This record gives sequence, C-alpha cells and structure tokens, in this order.
Amino acid sequence: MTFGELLRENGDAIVRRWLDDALSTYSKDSSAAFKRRKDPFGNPVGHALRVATATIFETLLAETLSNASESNASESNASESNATESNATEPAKMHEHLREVVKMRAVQQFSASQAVGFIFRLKQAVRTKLEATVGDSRFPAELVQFDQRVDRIAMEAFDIYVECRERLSELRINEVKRRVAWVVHKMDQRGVDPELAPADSE
Amino acid sequence: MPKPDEMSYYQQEDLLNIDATPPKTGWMDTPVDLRPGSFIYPGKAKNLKILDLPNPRDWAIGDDDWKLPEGWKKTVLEGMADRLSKYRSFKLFMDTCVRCGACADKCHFFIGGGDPKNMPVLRAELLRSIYRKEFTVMGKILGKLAGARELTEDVIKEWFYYFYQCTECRRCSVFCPYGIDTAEITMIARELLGLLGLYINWSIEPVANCFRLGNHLAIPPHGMMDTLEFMVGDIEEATGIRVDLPVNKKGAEVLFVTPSGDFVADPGIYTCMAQMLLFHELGIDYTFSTYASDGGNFGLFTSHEMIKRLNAKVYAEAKRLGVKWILGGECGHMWRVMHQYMDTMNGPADFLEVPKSPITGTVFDHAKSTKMIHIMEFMADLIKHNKLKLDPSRNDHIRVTFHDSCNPARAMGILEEPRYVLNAVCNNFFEMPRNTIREQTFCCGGGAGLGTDENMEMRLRGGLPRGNAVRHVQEKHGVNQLAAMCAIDRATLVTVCDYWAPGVLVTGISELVANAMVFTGENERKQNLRLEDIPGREEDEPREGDANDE
Repeated sequence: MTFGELLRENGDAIVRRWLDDALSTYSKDSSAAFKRRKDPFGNPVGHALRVATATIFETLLAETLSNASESNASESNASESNATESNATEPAKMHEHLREVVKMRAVQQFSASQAVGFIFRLKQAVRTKLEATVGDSRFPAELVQFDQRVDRIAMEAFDIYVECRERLSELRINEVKRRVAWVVHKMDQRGVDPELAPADSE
Repeated sequence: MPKPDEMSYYQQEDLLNIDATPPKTGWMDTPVDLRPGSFIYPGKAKNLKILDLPNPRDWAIGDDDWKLPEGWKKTVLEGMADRLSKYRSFKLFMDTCVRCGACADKCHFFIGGGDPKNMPVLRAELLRSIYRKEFTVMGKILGKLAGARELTEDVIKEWFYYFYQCTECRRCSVFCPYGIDTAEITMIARELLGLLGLYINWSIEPVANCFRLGNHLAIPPHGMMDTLEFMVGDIEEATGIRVDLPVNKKGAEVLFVTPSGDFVADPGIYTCMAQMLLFHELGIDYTFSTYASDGGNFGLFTSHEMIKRLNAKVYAEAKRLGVKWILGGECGHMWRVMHQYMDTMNGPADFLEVPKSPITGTVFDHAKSTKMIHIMEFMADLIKHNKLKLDPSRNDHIRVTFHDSCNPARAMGILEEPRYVLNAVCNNFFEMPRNTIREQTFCCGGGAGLGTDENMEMRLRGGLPRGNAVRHVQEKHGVNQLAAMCAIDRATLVTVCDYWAPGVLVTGISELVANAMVFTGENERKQNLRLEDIPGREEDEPREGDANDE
C-alpha cells in the first residue's frame, strides 16, 4: 500500500483527529459546543472548521495521489505546481474554506501563531493515525513531502490572517471617518469661512 | 544539524508529545484576559461630573489600579441588596437558573468568539456567584462548592469586561425555559459598576451629551437646523421637491422623535430624508424638536435612573409644543424605552391623545397609554389603505434582505410591519435563514453601548452570526442590501457586512420607501436619495465632477 492509499484509507480518522485538535484551541466547554451543533447558522465556527479541515485534507490527498502516480510514470518527482494544477478545481474550493476559517480566527482571542497554528496539527494527526495502522513510519520521504504541503497551506493561512488584521484596522478607520464625513462635506460645500481661509497673499 | 527536509529533523516522539490543549482551569480561576480590541475605553471624569455620578476620575483599563472608591465592596453589596429588594425579577433571576445550558450556545459573542464567559449562563454566574456568597446560606457555608466566591477587585474587572460584552439583545432569553432575561442581569451589573464610577465612555459621553443638549451627539439647536437644511437641499436635488422643515413648531399635530444618528451620518441621513419627504407628500402637520432631539436613550445602557432622566424630555417637549401625539423614527433601543419604560417612568401622558393617522383615520389603540407609535406601524397602515403611490420597480436593482433589530423584534414584536412595507416597495426581498431572523434574530454586535471602534475585534466576533447569514443570502440570492430599522444597526452593520459579507450595503426601510414613492410634482427620478444614479434611469450626460468624486 502506498502512502497516498494509506492516507485515503485513514482519511476520516485523520480529519476527525485534526478537527478535534483544532477545536481544542478553544476552551473545553466551547469546543464541545462547537463540535456538537451541526447548524451552519447557529454554529458558524464549528461548521467552517469542519468543512475546511475536510477540504484541505482532500486537496492534499489528491496532490499526494497524483504526485505518486506521476512519479511512477516518469520516475521523476513531480513539482508542486504540477500537482496543484492537476487538481485545479479542488484548490479553489480549499482556498475559500481556508479563508473562511482564518477570517474568523483573526478576530478571536488568539495570537497570530494560535490563529493559524491549527494547520500544523494535521502533521500530528497523520502521524498518530499512521502509527496506529502500520506500526511505524514507513514513508519518511513521503511524510516530508506531505509536511511541506502542510507548511504551504500554513503560509497561505498566515497571509490571509495578516490581510484580515489589516482589514480590521481599515474598517475601524472607515467607521470613524464615516461618522463625520457627510457633515464635513456639506460644510465644505457651503463655502470657506473668509476668516478661517489661509491668507495666501502674505 | 538536520534540515526540515531531512528525516532526522523529525523526532517522532517530540511530534507526538506536544500537548496543544490549553490549560484547563475552572472559570473562577481563569483570570480575565483584557486584550486590546475587545474592551471599551472607560468613562471620562468630565462626563461623570456632568451627570453627578460617583468617583469621577481618569483611568485606563490597562492600569493595575482602577482607583475604586474607599469602601467599594460595601457599596457594591449594599447596591445589590437594594436592587434585590426593589426588583423582584433580579431576585428571581439570581435564584432560578438550573444551569441547563439551553442558552449556552445562543449568544452571538459566544458563537462568534468561543469565550465560555460569553455563554449567558456563565456571564450571569459572574454575578450570581457573589450573590450566593453574600445573600444565601448555602453559599456562605459551602463557598465554592455551592458556586459562591469572594468579591474581589478581579471580580469587578471581570464584570466590567464581560457585562460590556453583552448587547442586551435578549436572544438567550428566548431559549431559557425559565424566562431568565439576561439583559436585565446585565443592566443590574452595569448599575453596580456605576456605583464605583465604572462606565464605558462610549455610553456615558452620549448620556452626558443627551443630558445637556437633548441628543447623544451634542448637536446644538442651530447645528441641528444646519444638518436638516442640508438634507432639504439633497432632497430637492434628488427629487425636485422642496420639503418644509418644521422645527419646534407649536401646535403641530405630531411630534416626530428620531435617533440623532440619523441627523449626521451615512446611511442614517437617507432614512431621515425619506421620512421628511413622506410627511411632506402626505401633508402631515408635524414638527422636529431641538430639545427632544434624540429618541435614542443610552441611559438604557447605564442605569434605570438614567433612562428616566434622559427620556423625560420627550413628554415634556410634547406638552410644551402642544402636540396631539408622538411618532417615532427608525430606532431600535429607543423603541424599547418608549414602549416599556416611558409611560411608567415619565407618564401618564394624559395631555396627549391616542395616536390617530390623519390620513387613514386609523386609531392606534395599542398605544393608548404611551401615545407614541413607530414609523413602521404608521407606514404599513398607509400602504394597507393605498395612500402611497408606489413604483417598486425603481428598487429593482436592489436585492434586499431584512435584519430584525433586537429591540423592535424581540422586545416589541414588530415583525410583520417592516416585512409588509418592504414587500410593497421592493420586488426582490429575501429572508435570511429561519433561526437568524424574527424572535431568533442575531444582534449586530454593537448594541447596548458597544458600537464604538476600539472594540472592533469584539464587535466583529459578535457580528459573525449575523454576517454569516447575510453572506448566505448574498451567495444564494445575490442580495446586495440589508435593511434595518435601527440607527445603531445602520452604523454598525455597515462594518459587519464589510468584513463578513463584503458588497452588501446597509439601508433604512424608509429610504427604500421614499425611493419607490411617486411624489406630487417630482422631477423625472434619475437619482436616489444618496444622489446616485438609479440603474436604467441614469442621466444622459455625466455631471460635472462625477468622474473624480472621491
């Protein structure tokens, strides 16, 4: 059995473990509540995490499988970009779900590393499950490659996080501006008070 | 030293032994994490002085010493005892909870943030634990075992942090089998904090402004005239109609009281303009007041005493001007005050008449006591009697959804009128999912004095459930506008949408009505009240200055 096949076989268990780990970044009571409710409107955080972890894993699995088949065919390592292109539709969905989760975590009581750190927990979930199945890590090279893919997702998550934090500051500024913008604009339209006008001639 | 792409870099045992779970401490032993972005700045001394409130001083949340007054503990406990004897509901809410958890996952701040102390049950426990310790035998004897704890400065800090993370929206109360009203618990907790001079500036400054000038924004009478005149100008530009501007008009039939947010800020101003147009078209004999210049009442977020102090001007002004009845604009918490407190606190308004529509003759019997009705009730009645000439196709470029504002919806039950009006003036109206509207509506995250900018992170957490539902209808139905009949919503939901559902604009309902209304003597309508071109009816030639308008 190849590494990819093993991943596929244990996919559900890996994703479940990863989701549990990701949810455990919240307090015990909260993670239980986020895990329990399936309603996307009553429980958007739990829902988004569930969908994102599953989709990210699916995408990485597809990359791993296609990479393996390409290596077999050409005896050479397929590049990351080739692997990505061959699953062009999946990544688009994955980016969207990843964005949704990071957007939420960017405004929650987390440090930057806590907000995106849940991505790395996938490595641990994979190792734990493979350990339980095959007894040892028989796929060192594949694992390294998989880890690099996880790192890539984490980097992307960090970019999204920074973007969200910048957006947050921007929104704060916009709101303050909006409070007076209309009145100030109207006052300006009314014409400059001659007494307040800068004396250009001097 | 191995590199990350070499196998020896990874020590399996290390990887497996990382415990990523946060430390588990009981809630009583978990200290409050006062993170910037999640709290609101404290009330400034000058504002407390204006209102004769205790312990005015300047301090900061980050300070170790919050400069509590001498004997503060006694003050809080006496304050609690006083309120336990005065408010039966408070006593009941302190005793009744069985911690069933029905409310636990219903608060928007909990849903969006995951902080367990935002579970309404636990937020109430912050106060209840002190109640048990000081006012119950079990708590006195068994202490922590009975869920009781000592009142310390840290508890006060925790109260300040979490009771200003409750928007008093009452969504949790809908699910409580005992009907415990968490909003009232928050109100009492805020009163107790107030005894120590602990207020947030975002509510106490508006309160101080309102006390001196009649409105939260401290707009003086001549300033109010200015902004209303600007609106008259914009209305004329958009429609070709010059509307009257009755201000402080003695003997008018109706006193119109609206939130001051609608006098100055986008998009509330369009709501106000729309109402001026409507009154003009129908020939309503109404007046604005520069004294009762705010229907909003941040006293509701401060103390019962303060609600009364700020609200008194409404009946006083109605009496001074000699009006027959009062009409209220599109506001949320104002409506809770008018409907549920005004009559008891400042009534009886026996000098007024039961509101009667001068156009349809409808008598609003439900307002027999307060003598005040909501603009949405007034409008729905007009539409029902076919008194408005409407062309909803002017709003065809708008795909609108409706946000039930917590107070009108949950506290008042004004659920059908806004929908009736929206359906009459828009051809494309879409509801958000069932468990996010009507009685179960999600708060904007900025009500009850929380709508400032320094706690933006917290507001976006609280706004997540609402924003999430908006984005759902945006994706499913192409919704591009969110209508709300609350001035706080119109200010805060703009930001919530910009973050969670970018591309969705916020509007008042009246604005949509005025854009659909066919007015007597209007020009060919090419622009809406925002002076934007109506798609399909644009001006033939671009106007000067449009291209570079920033």
